[in-house]
Amino acid sequence: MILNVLYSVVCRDITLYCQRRGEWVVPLLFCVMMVTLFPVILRSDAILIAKWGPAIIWLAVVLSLIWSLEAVFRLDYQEGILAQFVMSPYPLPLLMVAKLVAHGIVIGLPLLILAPLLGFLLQLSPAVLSALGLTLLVGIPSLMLVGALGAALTLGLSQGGVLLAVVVFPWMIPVVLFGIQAVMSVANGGALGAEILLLLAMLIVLLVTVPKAIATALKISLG
Amino acid sequence: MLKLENLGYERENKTLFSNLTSEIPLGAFVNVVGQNGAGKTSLLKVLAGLWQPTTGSLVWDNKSLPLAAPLFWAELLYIGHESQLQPTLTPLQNLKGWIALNSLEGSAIKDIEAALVQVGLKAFMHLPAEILSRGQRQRVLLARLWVNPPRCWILDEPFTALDEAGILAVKHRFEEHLLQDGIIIVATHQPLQISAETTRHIELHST
Repeated sequence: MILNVLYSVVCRDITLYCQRRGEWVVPLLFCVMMVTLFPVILRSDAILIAKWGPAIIWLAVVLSLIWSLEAVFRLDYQEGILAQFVMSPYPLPLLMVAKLVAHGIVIGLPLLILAPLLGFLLQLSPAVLSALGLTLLVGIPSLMLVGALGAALTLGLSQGGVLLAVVVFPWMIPVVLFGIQAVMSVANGGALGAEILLLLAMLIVLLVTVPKAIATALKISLG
Repeated sequence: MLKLENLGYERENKTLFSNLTSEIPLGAFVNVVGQNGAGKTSLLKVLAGLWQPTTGSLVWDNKSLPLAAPLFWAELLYIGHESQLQPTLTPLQNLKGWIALNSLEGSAIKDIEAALVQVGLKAFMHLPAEILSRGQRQRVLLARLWVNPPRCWILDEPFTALDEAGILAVKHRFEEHLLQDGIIIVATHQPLQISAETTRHIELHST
C-alpha cells in the first residue's frame, strides 16, 4: 500500500517537472556551459585539460544540483500542498525520499549521463570517464540528500535560494572532496581507491539520517 | 472523539486564544466564528495538528497529539485557505495526488471523476487548474467531501467564492456526514445554521 503511495508521489512530481521545464533545463544548461567554457580559459592546453577536466565536471555537477534543489519543496510549498504531505498518515521521511527520487530521475539521471559525455568532449580517457560516472553515481544521491535538507531548512525564507547555497555547500565539501580526489587519481594514472568506498559509506549514513531530518525541518518550516 | 484540553496559542507575543476546553463527540458540528484576524485559521491549524499549541493539548480517541498525529491524520480532512492546487496539474491529477497522500484506502479514479461531476466541473476535469475561477478551485477542493472522506473534517472558510447553489450542496453534504457520525469543524465569518445532534460555537475576538 505504502509502495503505491510512494509510486504515485514519484509519478505526480515527474508530471509536474515535465510541465515546469525551466526548473531543470536551466541547471542542466548551466552545467554544459560551465564545462564548455573551461577549455577556452585553459587555451586548449591538452595536458592541463586532461589533468583538471574531471574536477571541473564534478564541480559543475555539484553547482547545478544545488541550483535545481531549490525547487524540490518550493513548488508545493507555495500552493500550501506541502501541508498535505505533512498531514499524511504515511511516514513523512519516506514521502520526501519519493520526492527526491522523482527529482533524481528528472535532474540527477541526466547529469549522470551528461558528465561522461562532457568528459568525452574534453577528450578524457575511457578509464577517467568510467571513474567519473561511477563516483557521480554514488556522489549525486549524497549531494541531493544534503541539498534537500538545506532546501527544507530555508523553505520559509524569502531569499531562500541564496541562503541555500551558503548553508548547503560546507556540508557537501566532504562528498565533493572525495569525489574529485577519486577521479583525479584515476586521471593521474592511478586506480579508483578507498575514496569510492568512503563515498559509498557517506551515502549510506546520509540515507539513514537525512530523510528524518528533512521531515523535522519541514514541520518546523510549516509551523 | 476530539478533546481540547486548555488549548492556547501565542504568535509573535500575541495571544490568539487561550484556555479552550471542549469535548467534540462524534456527530458534532463545531462552528468557529470571528472577525478577520481573530485567529480562526490559527485555531484550525492547531486543531488539525499542523501547529503545536503553546499551552494545553489535543486528544484524539484518548491518545494525545503530537504522538498520535498519524492516527488522527488518517481520519482527518483539512481544507485550509491556501490554494492547495498545483496550477499546472488538472483538477483530477490534483485530487488524485491528495487522496493518495491523505487516505489509507485510496480511491478509484472513477469515484474522483464522479465527485468532480457532482460539483459541476465535468468540463474542466482535464484542464490545468490555473484556468479555473476562484469558485471553481474551491469546488475542486470541496469535491474531496464526496470521495471516500475521512471521519473528521476541518474546513477553513469553505464557502469563500462559492455561489448559492454550491453553498446549499455543501451544507446538505455536511448534514449527511453528521448523520453518519462524522465530526465537522468549520470557520466562518457568519454563524452557520446546520442541523446536528450536537452543535458547538467557538467565538474568537480580536484583541
